[in-house]
Amino acid sequence: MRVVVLLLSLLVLTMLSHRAHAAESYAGCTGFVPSLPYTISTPGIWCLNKTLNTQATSGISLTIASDNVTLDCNGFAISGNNKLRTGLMTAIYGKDRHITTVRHCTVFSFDKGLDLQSTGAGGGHVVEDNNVYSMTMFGLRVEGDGSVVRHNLVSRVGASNSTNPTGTTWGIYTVGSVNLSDNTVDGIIARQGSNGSAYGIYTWKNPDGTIEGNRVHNLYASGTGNIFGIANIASGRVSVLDNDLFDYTHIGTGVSCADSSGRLKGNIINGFALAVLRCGKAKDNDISP
Amino acid sequence: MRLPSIVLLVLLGLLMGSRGAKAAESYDSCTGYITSVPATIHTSGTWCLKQDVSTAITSGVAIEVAADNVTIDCNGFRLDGLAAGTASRALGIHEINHYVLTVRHCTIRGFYRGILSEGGGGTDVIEDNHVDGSLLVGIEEDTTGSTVRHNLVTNTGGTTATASPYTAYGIYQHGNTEVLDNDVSGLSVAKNSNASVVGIMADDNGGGSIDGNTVRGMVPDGTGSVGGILVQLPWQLAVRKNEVHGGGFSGNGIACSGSGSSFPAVRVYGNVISGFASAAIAGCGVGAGNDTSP
Repeated sequence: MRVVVLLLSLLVLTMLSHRAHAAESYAGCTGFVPSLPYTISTPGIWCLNKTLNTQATSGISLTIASDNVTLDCNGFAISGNNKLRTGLMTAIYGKDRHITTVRHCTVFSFDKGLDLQSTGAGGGHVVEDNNVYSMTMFGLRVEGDGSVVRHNLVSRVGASNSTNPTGTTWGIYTVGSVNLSDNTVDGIIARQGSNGSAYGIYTWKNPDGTIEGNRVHNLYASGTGNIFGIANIASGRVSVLDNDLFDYTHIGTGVSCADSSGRLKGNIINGFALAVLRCGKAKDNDISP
Repeated sequence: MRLPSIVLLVLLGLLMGSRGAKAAESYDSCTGYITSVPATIHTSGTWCLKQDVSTAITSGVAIEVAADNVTIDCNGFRLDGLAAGTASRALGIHEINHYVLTVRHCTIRGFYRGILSEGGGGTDVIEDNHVDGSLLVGIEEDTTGSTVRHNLVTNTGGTTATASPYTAYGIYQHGNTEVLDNDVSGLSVAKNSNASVVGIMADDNGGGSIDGNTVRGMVPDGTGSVGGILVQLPWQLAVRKNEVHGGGFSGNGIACSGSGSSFPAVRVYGNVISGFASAAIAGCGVGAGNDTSP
């Protein structure tokens, strides 16, 4: 009987070990995005079940036009074609929406990857576990209080930015009270000849957010442009914790704040001409030229 | 007494199983399945395993990825090359010159290199895999902008196909790659090989992070040595909050080397380093909060 017990246990555990790691499910999907361009007009979980591509030369490929929408790409890609561009092109767009979640998306070859804008309304967004690359202006822009941007990979922004009007590039750009954690931002390059700047993480009017555990490297400005690892503009009591920030060109600013109420702790800041601008250096930062 | 035990176990299993089901996981997103190996993936999408697959090839590749934007999701199943023996040079999963390879939830056993991504692609994500019994390298990620995270790399080393003295690596990366939250344990090599073992090798990394990894259980042979995290030809790099244990053998915990004697732009910060007969930290820029002990 003990053998039977053992066999049953092993059987159950074996089944569990396989179930626990199975791939993404469509069970919760309200519907699927069939092709691009497309507008999501009703709440729910909208999924991708295939890779989607657009050959449009400008505009928006996927618009979120309802509150309480989750876009789950299930690891599939949304792709454009930067070589065809005649005007700015955005991969995923929403304006003044409440509680937009975007996850598990691979997005490449647009000017703007994800652009969730706010004119004072909306917020509570969650942007997580996306892989965004080959943008010409920015990877992620998230506006709205109570939002979270985490676990994303943003790389190669500005590498071929012929339609970027100013030449300035941003890895992640947020407005309002937004937390950013555990993102990788790599290869943010201002358009050559533009005098544009390169921002790894840019926050605007963030009164109390936490910027923690992010990794920012390989930033390149153009001409008189500057480099910022993390720029907190018009910010308040932001906490900047345990980030890894590097400037290979030695011209930039590591972290900037509006004043000393922005607190820095446990950051590695290497290679910047100015490591910290106006922030309060709480303790344990590793700052080196 | 026996019957209630069985019932209890089955109920426990069903209870845990129902939690798995609530996680809403399935094969829905699979573009197709890999049912036998060797196999080559020619189209983008999510390619899944729904059973263990094995091969005894001693050269070549078990799963070759020949397209951009490919995800290999093994769903916890095993890709097994153990039958080829210790003289095998076969690779488990391989790609060259393709962008955005994602490998997740794979158990990969017994290959010369478990995973090898190389060439001009990049932006790969290698995550949540268990790579066991690799003969020379567990995971080798040689493309830029890539991330290797949350992997378990165990029992690496023991090849008899490579001339001695060689070096076995848990994780080897070249170029700008993030190596995050991996557990590397059990590195050993063939007897009388005089071979060395290295937990994590970062080669020519121009701005990445090696954060939150653990390295332990390293055993070299003869005149070989150990290295916890070695950084070669570095530019700028963060080596933060890793735990590295050397077992008392000759070698460094975290060391930087290249054309020069010191590399201050490699920032070593907040690591726990113990059990190395040579310097715990050598050649790198030493930040605060490192705990070093013999």
